[in-house]
Parts: sequence; structure tokens; C-alpha cells
Amino acid sequence: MAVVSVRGELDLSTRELLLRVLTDALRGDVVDRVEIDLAELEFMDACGVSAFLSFRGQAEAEGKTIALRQATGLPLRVLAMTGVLGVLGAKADDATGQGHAG
Amino acid sequence: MPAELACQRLDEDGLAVLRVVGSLTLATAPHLRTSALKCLADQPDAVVVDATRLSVPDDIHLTVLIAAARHAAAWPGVPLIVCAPPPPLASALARLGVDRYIEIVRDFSEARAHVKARELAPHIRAKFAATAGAVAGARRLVVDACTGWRLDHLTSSARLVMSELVTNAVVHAGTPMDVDVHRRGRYLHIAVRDFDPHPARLVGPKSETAPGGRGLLLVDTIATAWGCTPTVDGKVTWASFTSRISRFG
Repeated sequence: MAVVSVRGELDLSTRELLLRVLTDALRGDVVDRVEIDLAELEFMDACGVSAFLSFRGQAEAEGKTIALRQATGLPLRVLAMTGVLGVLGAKADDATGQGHAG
Repeated sequence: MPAELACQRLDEDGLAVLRVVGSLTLATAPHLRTSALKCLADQPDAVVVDATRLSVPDDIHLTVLIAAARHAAAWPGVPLIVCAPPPPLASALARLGVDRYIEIVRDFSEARAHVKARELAPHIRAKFAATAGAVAGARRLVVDACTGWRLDHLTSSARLVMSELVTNAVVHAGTPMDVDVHRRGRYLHIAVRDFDPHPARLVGPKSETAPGGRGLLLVDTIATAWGCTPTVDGKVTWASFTSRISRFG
């Protein structure tokens, strides 16, 4: 499993960079799961949701899985409002940072 | 021009004054609408409808004024003012709640005072090119505005909605844009004007896992109100937030 930590603001201008890093992390036979740590992500809009869903589709096509963890504040509310917490593997516990030491 | 209604334009001091004489009916309403929109297209400080000699036999035709006011509100800065309506018309405007959309004044000096007060209201405008960097730039603008106007409880909502509106302008319109943030009473308004006529529509994602279609869904969830209004050369997508209720953050 690989873990990618995301920091700062995720929007139209940063989504391509994020997707490149995530795609790199997924590469190779040894990695079957990528977890994305959002503890230090300060802002994200629908572009971020779209990036995570694209990446999910990409991983799924290779028989791999992804999950978000430690989302908090505004990013957590955006994920909840767009109804994607479940499909992005961010359970309520993970999302509030209470569980899943990873 | 229908004979029963004449619209004459007499501008003064940056105000577009539309003197409307005659009877507003089903047949004459389109003429008033067209004349009002022509005035708005010039972006004066205000459009003042001089209603001294206007009669409206049937309340229903007053909706033309509401429609014109909505159009005017799309790009903040051009209020529609009805000046000196005769008493029967004034009561009809109140009855229909038209005064929620349109400022109704007794005379021209009151109209000018209203425009002046409006100019003094907190207001920020900026232009951005259609680049990905515009999104963060516009976000900073609205965050600074909320801080300066002590609307901290609206910062999260306004910041996110601004992000979505500007992203749409960059991605879908692909034209330069004007961003407007202003406070009026207990409302914060944000508006993004672009130069592409295709309206913003709330479609929603195609499926639970489809990547697109969630931007306007967020706007619709978070803003107190939002909309998209055509302008002569494109459109304005706007959102407003009441400063009493925060639905996000």
C-alpha cells in the first residue's frame, strides 16, 4: 500500500499535479492500494472531488483500490455534501480522524 | 411602437431616465421591456422609470417590471427605480410585492439619493483572465471582502461558491471574466460575468462515481440563492448569502 499526503489548496490549478502524483503512486505490481491522507488539506472544491473520483476509476480498472483518510474541515464537508464519502472509502470514522491509524 | 404606450429616453447625470406615458397592457408590455433592456445595456448608474403618466389597468402586466429588474440585478450596479408612480399604481406595486425587487421613489431627488447610497455600499470588483490561477485569485478576493466587512461566518461558503463559479467560467466559457463582490444590507452577493452566452445549468453527476457535475450542486446547496442571467454579450452567474444564516461552515 502507498500513502499520499495532500497539503494546501486543491482546485483547478492543482488537480493535474495531484493526479500525476497519485498515478505514480499506483504504478508497479507491489502497490494494490493507495490511501490519500487529507489531514493537511486546507481547501478543496468540486475539482478535487472530480480528481479523486477519476483516480478511483483508474485504480479500479487495474483491480486496485483507493481510500481517503483524515479529511477534516471544509474538505470533509465538501466530500459529504457531494455524497462521495462512501465511494471514496472515507468512512465517517476515518473522515473525522478518529480511527484508522493506517 | 404600440400607440397606447410611449417610452422616451432622457438621460441625466449618468442616470438613464425612461419616461413612460400611456397604458401598460398585454400589447404594450413588450415595448416597455425592450426599452428598459436597451437602457440597461448601456450600463448607466441606474435606470429610472418615470411613471408619472403611466397607468396599469391590470396588475398582471406589472410583472414586466419585475422581469426587467431581475435582468438589471444580474450585473450589480444597475438598479431599476420607479419614480413618481400615481397613487393607484403605487398601491398596485405594493400589492404585488414589486417593491421587493424595485426601488420605488417619490421624485428624482429621492432617486438620485438612492443611487448615491448604493455607490457607497461596500463593493469590490476585479478582472481575471481565463486561467486556472483565476480561481485562487477570486477566492482570495472574497475571503478578504468577508474579513473586511466582518462577515467571517460566511467566509467558507462564499469562498467555495466563488471557486465553483470561477472554475465554470474558466473551463466552460473560457473568456476573461469580471468578478464582483458586494454587501447590501444583510446580504453578501458574488457574481461572475463572462462573455459566453451558454447558460450555467445544474445537471448533477451522471452516477455516484462519475467525476463531473458536482460544482453547481455545491453552489445550489450552500448559497441562499443563485442564478444565471444572460447579458448582451454573455452571462452573469451569481450567488447570494444572508449574513444571518450560514448553511456551510
